[in-house]
Amino acid sequence: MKEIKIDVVVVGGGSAGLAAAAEAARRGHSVAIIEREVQLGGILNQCIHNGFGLHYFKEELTGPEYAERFVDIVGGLPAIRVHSDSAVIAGEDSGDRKRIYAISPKEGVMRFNARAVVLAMGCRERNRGNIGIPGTRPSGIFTAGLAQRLVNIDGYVPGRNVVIVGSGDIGLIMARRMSWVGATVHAVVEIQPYPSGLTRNIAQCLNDFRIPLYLSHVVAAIHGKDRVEGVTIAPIIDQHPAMEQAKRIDCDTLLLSVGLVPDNEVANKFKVEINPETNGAYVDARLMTSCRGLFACGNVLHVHDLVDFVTEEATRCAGFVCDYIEGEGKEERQYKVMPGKNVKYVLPNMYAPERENRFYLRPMIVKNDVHLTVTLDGEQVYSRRLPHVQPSEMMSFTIGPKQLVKADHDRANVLEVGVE
Amino acid sequence: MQHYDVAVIGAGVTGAAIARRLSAYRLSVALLERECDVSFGVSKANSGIIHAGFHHGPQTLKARLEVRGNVMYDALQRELHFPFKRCGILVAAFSIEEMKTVERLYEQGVANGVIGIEMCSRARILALEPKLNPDVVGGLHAPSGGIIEPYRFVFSLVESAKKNGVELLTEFDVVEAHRDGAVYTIRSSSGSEIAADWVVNAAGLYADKVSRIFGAEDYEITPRKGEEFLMERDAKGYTSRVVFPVPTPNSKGMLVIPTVEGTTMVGPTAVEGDDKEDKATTAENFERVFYSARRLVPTVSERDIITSFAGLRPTLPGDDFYIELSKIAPSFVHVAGIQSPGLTASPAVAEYVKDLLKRAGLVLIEKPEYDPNIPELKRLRSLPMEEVDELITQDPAYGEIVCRCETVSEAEIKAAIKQGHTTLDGIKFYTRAGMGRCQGGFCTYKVLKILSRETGMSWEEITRRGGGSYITKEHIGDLPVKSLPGRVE
Amino acid sequence: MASTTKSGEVVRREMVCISCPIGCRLTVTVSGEVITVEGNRCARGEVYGTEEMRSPKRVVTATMATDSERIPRLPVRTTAALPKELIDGLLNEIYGRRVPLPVRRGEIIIQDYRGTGIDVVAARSITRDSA
Repeated sequence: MKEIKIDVVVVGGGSAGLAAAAEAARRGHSVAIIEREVQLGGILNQCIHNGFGLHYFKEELTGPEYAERFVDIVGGLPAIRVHSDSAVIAGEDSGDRKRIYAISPKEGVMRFNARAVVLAMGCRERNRGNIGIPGTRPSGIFTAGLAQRLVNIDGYVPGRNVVIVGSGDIGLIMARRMSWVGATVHAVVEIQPYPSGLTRNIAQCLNDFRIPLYLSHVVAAIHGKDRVEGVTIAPIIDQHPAMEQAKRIDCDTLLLSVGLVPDNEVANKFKVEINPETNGAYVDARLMTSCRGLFACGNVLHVHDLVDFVTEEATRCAGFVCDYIEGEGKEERQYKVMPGKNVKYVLPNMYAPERENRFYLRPMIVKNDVHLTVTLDGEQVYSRRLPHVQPSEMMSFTIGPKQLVKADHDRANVLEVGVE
Repeated sequence: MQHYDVAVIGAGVTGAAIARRLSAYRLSVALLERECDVSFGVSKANSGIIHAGFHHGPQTLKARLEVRGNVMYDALQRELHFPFKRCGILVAAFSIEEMKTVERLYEQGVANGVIGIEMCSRARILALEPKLNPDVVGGLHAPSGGIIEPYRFVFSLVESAKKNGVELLTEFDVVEAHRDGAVYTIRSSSGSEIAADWVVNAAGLYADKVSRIFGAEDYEITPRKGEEFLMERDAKGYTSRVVFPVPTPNSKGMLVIPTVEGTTMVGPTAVEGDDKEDKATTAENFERVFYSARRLVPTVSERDIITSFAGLRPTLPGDDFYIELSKIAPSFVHVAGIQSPGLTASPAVAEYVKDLLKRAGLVLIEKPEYDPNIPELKRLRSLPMEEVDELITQDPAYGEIVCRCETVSEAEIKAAIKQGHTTLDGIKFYTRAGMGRCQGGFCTYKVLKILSRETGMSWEEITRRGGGSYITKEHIGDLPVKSLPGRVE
Repeated sequence: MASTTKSGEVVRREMVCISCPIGCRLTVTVSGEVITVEGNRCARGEVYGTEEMRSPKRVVTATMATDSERIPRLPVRTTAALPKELIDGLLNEIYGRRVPLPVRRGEIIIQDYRGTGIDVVAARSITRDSA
C-alpha cells in the first residue's frame, strides 16, 4: 500500500477540483487530486457546446476550452500531484487527519493521509427509476448526460428518432446535438408549465430546429420489447395525466434530462450530514461539512447552472481550507442561515459576521420584479431589486460586517433570505 | 448433428438445477435456452426469497419440494458461492381474522416439517423486527427462510453444470421435434438441430408450447405478472427479515424484502394476463405496492426507489408443480407450472426429476470426477484493503473501477465475459455493475468498451439482452446531417 | 429572411437573443432598409437582432475523429457565428475528416470555410497516444 502524506486531498478533477487545487497550491500547500477518469476536466470534457466562462474569462468558451485553461494552470503548479484513473473506495476520519483510500491499476491501493479534504465529485443524473415512467424496459433509454458522453467522447449516435424528457439545459443541448449528428428529435416533453432551461437554449436548441416543446406533459408509457419503439405522452390536468388526450410518438431513443443530484458516495463514507433540500452536505461559513476538515464545493454541494460560479465557490472554499490548515486555533463566530419566503435553499448554511460572506440560493418561483430580502433575527439588513427570478437560475449576493454589524454575542442572529 | 443422452429445455433456475444434477452422472447433457443468456426468462425477475415452507398444504408437491429444497442451500452456497443469507421470514397480522389465517399457516408449516417455525405475539414479532408497523397484533416467524441473489444462483448452477460437461446452447428456441425410433430430433428457429434420447421440459412460460411440439400433453400456461420496486441501499425501510402480509387466495401478497445486497424490494403484484411478452410496469400498481408495503413497514419510502421491473409467473390451473413423465410422449418429462416457490424448490426439483428419469429407465452411473465446486471469484467490494493491494499487483484490472456505485472492478467484468455473459444485462447480473444508485449512468460506456475489447464485438453488435436490444447502430458521420427546418413533421 | 421591406411595409418579429445566458426578449422591426432592435440590455443584442433578420448565424461546435484510441474525438468550434444555411454542409465535412495528432488548442483545422473568413479550430489539445 502506498502511503501519501499531503496537506490537501481534492476528490475530483473537474471544474471545482481544479480551481480548489490551484488555489491551495498557490497558498503554498501540497495537494493531491484524485480523479477517476484518465484525464482531468470532469464533465466539461463532454460539454463541447459554448456558453462557458462569460463571467470568469469574459469570453464565451466551450467546455473543453474552459477545462483546459485550468488543467494548464494545475500543470504549472508543481505542488499539485494528479492521480488520474484512480477511484476512492474508502475514507477514515482520524480527527486531525483524514485518510482516503483510492485505487488505480498502476498504483494499487493508495492511502492518502491529509490535513484536509475537499469534496469536488460533482453530480449524477436522475434516471428512469427515480421518476418511475411506466411501461416496458427496452434498450434505447439513456440519461441525457450518458448520451452526451457517447456522442461527444466516443463518437456514437445513440439513435435516429429521439424524444427527450425534460427541458432542462442538458436536454435542450442534447436536442441540438442529436440534430447536429443526423438524428431527428421529435419532441421535448416537460412536466412543468414552463421550460426549466435557459430561454436562450429554447431558442437555439429547439426553435432553430423546429422541435416541438410539450409543456405540462409527461411520458405516460414507454413502448417496445427489445428496443424503444415509441412513447405515449399526455398532458397533465389537475395533477394527473389526462389519458383521453394522450398521443403516441414513434421513436427509437428516449433521452432523460430529469434532474441532477449531488454525487455523495464519497461523502457518505465520512457519514457527512446531508441537506435534503440540496441533496448535498450541510456546510458552515467555511464550506466545511459536519465532518471537521472535510469541505465541499461545486456540484457535489449543490447543482450549479454556471461553471463560473463553481470556479468562484471552489476557489473561495480552498481559501477556507488553507485558513483551517494554517489556523492558529482561533475559530470565527458563526450563526445560522435559513431559507425564507420562496427560497428553496441558501448556501452556506452558516455565516460569519466579521467578514464578507458570499451566498448562493435558488428561488422557488418564476416572477418578474422581485426583491431579495435578508433579515437578521427578523430585522431587514439587506435588500436588492431583481428584474426576474426563476428556479433554474441560481442567485447570489454578498454581505459583510457593514450589514451584519448587529450580530452580537447574546442573540440567535439567524439570517433569513427571502424572495418576493 | 450432436446426439445427447438428455436435452433439458430451459436454462432458468429449474433447468439449470436439473442439468447440474444430471452432470454428476455419465451422461451427455444439453441445456437449451431460447434467450442469448441463461436466467433471462422467468428467473430474471425473481424476488430471491428462499421460502420456509408454510404457504402451501402438505398434500401439494410444491410444499414437499420447497421444504426439501430449503435445507439444501447451505451446502450449495459452499459449493457455488452465490450470495445467500438465512435471515428468517415473518408474516405480520393486523387483526384477529388475520391471526387465524396465520395460525393456519403455522399448522401447515408444522405439517410440512418446517424447523423452528413459531407463532409470535405482538411483543415477540416487534422484537424480531422493530421496523414493523406498531399496529401489528402478532404473526409468524420462520427462521429457516432466507434471501439470495437469484441470477447469481442460476449463473453458478450453469457454471457448475458446464464444468462437469453439460453443453449450454443459447439462442436455441425449440420450434420443432420428432421422434425416430428411440431418439428425438430437436430443431431450433435458426435451423440448428440436435438429437436426444430423453427430454426434460423446463421451459417456463413456454412449457405448454414445448409440450405440444413434442406431441405430449396439452395444457396452457397463463402468465401472471408481478411488478416489483427496488430501493437503494441502506434505505430506511430496510428490514432485518423478509416481511410478508397475510396471504390472499391468489398470491402470497406484497412483501418487504431486504435483499442480500443491502437494497430493499417491495412487491410483487399478481395480475393475470394473456401476453407472455408483456412485462410493462404500470402507474396504478405503484400506488398499490407502496400502500401495501407501508402498511407493513411505515418507513418504506418511494423517494428511495431506483428502479422497477416486472416478471411473469408461469401458472397452471390447480397451481401446483406439474412434474411427471409424459403418458403420451416417450422419455419426456414435464417440469411445468414452476412459479413460487420454484426457486426455493429447485435443488429438490432436480433430485426429484433425476429420480423420475431413473425410474423411467435412464441409466445413472456416477462420475468419480464430478466436482460440485466452482472457483470463487474475488469481488473487490468484499475484500479487505491489504488484499486489494495484493490483488491489483497480480491483476491490474482489479484496480480499475468500472461501477462506482457497487464497487465493481474491470477484472470482474472480464470474468463475467469469460463465463459467456456478453450482454449488458448478463454482465449486470453477474457483477452488479449498473444495479446501483446511478443505474448504469456512469459505468455503461466503460462496460461497452471492455466488452468490445474482450470479445471483438463492435459497439453496434452489443445489446442490452440479446435480440433487437441494440445500444447504438451508428457512428457520427454515418447519418447525413439535415438539421435545417423545413423537415416534414 | 426579411432584411428590407417594400415601401410602407413593416415587419415585426419577436425573438430571444442568444449572445449570452440572460436571453433578452427582443422585438425587431424592419421598415424599408431600417432595422430597429428593442428589448436588448447590451450592444451585442442589437447586433444579434439585426443579423438575425439579415442573415441568421450560429456558432457551430462539433467533434472530429482522431487517430487516438485514448481520445477518439476532438472537439472543434467555429471562430465566429456561421450563416445558418452553411451549417449542415460544415458538419458533414467535419464528420468526414480525421485529424492527425498531436493537435494544440486553438489550432486551425479548417481555414476560411467557404470564403466566410470563419475558421474551425480545435477546442482542446491532444497528444499522441504513446506520449
